[in-house]
Amino acid sequence: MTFQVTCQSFAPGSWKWTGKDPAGVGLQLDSAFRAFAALVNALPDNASTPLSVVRSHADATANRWGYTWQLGHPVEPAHLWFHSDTPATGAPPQGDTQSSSSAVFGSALASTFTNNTSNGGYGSYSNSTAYGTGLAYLDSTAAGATSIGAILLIAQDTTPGQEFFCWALKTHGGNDDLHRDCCHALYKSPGTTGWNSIAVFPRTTKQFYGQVVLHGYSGNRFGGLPSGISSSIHANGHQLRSGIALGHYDFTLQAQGLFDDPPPLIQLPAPLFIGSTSIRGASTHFGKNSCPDGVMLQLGQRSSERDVWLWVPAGTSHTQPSPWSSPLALSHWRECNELHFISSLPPQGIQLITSTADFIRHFPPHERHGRPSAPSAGATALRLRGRRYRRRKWWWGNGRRSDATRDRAALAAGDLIVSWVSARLLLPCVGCPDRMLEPLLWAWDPKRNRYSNGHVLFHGRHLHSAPDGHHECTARD
Amino acid sequence: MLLLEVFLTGTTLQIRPGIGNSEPFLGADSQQGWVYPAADVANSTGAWSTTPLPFTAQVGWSLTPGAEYFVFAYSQHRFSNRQAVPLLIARDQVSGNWILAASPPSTSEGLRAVSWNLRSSQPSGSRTLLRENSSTPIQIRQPAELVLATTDWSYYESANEPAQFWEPLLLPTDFAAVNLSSGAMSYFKPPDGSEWLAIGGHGLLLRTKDPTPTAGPTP
Repeated sequence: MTFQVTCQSFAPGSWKWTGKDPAGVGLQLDSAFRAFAALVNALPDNASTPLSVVRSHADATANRWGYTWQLGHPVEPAHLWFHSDTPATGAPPQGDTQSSSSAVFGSALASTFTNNTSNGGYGSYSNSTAYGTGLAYLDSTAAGATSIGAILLIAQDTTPGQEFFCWALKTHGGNDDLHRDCCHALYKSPGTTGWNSIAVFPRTTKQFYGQVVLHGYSGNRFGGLPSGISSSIHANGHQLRSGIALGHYDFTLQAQGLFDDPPPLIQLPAPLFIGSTSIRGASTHFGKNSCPDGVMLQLGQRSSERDVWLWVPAGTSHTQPSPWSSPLALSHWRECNELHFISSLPPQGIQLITSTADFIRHFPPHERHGRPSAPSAGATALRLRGRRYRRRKWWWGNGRRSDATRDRAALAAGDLIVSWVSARLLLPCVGCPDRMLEPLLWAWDPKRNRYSNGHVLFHGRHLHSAPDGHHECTARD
Repeated sequence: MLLLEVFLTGTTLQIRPGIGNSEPFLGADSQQGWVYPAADVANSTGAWSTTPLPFTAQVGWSLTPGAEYFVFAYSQHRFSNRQAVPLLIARDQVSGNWILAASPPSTSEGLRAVSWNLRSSQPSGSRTLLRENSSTPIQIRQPAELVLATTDWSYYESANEPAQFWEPLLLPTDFAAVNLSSGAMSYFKPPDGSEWLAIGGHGLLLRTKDPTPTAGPTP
């Protein structure tokens, strides 16, 4: 299936998030997701990363309503969920104050899941991450929301490499301030095999909990996707951007200078335009922008953090059996001007670097290719003895080993080696005091056929680097 | 016509981006009739020290078809408010139009750039390079992209401008962006073997060495 956008309308009186009616919104979303999962799971590239449903509205036992989906992975699958929590009785329309978080978007490793009926039927997790968010007007059969209808919109694509499933919930009627239109998408980014997830919950004057929740799942954990969204969007522009590329990286490894091969940048799904808007224009949450080559539909709400729109190019399929239909046929949309939509291009990539000099990489002890050269190649060493700073010899450039050996042979205890990297004191070897050790210089390691640092274990023998070459040491330090 | 004026007046280096003679009215204009590419892409200024100081200058250029550029940058000393890129002319990698850009010696006042949007031929401007913030891992990011600054027409009650579609502005591949706040003349050697020289005070990098072709496994 190429890119397809469909919707279902739930009229006032039939709109009810908190229910198990097979024709209701919860189980219709569930069946749409199951159909998508069946299609993408059949693709060869997804054999090790299948999608599945862990919980749905059908599993609800109390006041919790929503879904839990599993992102497959060969080692350690993960769960993502979106749940609303309704008060037990006498529920006012949900989310009518800023501070009431009526829903949760969360994630956890599947191994932390206890598969029971606790938590309203959704089970429990020993370690999870959750973001507060909200839904409004959950039940149009209850007092206070009887004029509320809703639209469930689904955009999906099962083209290999471009897998994309996005649902959006849009309520209408009632107090315009109280709607909490949001969306959640699973997608693949080129060059990666795992699933990525983005959920956009616009923050409005009535909604304290609003954010873009990004997840990239890399195997045994959810990786942070530091938000390049803020930097990508000009602050005062009513700008919405697509294809934003975010780095998915590991802070711990990076800080050690060991993260030489960062995963490719994650490219947010191209149909989603995420950005910053304010409450102006013809509609706060049913915006539309018609172009010759397609239509832009607003999935979120006017919000500075963040609004989200969906690009529906001309020719997009809306074909699904009834009750699904084309969202373009809805009369709710209002043409909106004064917006800037910025498309993006595939990223070329990033290189992680340390914020300080990386001595291992930047000042290698020998050339990486060709024959080994002196450990101090490229460095300038100045030998100082005692308190008399007497310059004895300079080492220049790409010195050969023989030069280095000759020069080192002249070194003695108490000498201070000053190179452009650091200063080190020469110390006598513990086992053989007539030998000077240069613990931070490099010794030839015949086993690995390369220079090695300080102390070398070779066939059970302890070798030390020393000014006159490495030697066997009787001490065990 | 793209305009970029660089004034050196006393101790101020001022950069003034402009779009020539637009008709119909497109960008945002000043009281003197100068048309800026967007409402908030106006002058950018920084201090220029007349005191003799250690001064380094960097000039880079390329005549590679489609990726031509010329850049002049200087650093008066290591203070981050004395590093500037007074001139950058480069080919936009998306539209093929020229980008005219400069950044003054200032930490607060950023880059100014003018160009043309590929899709609509509207003037296009920028105030900053696209960079992750400094709390994320330090990274060299390619391509070097300019964050588009667009006029927020919604604040002009009667304008009701139609929605606009934009393509990004990308500098040639010899440029990259780093999320360090300053450091002209800093030199970076990322793992892929490429090498980069920092120019100006806003994270613009100029490539001095291409990446090493992927080598076979080392023993």
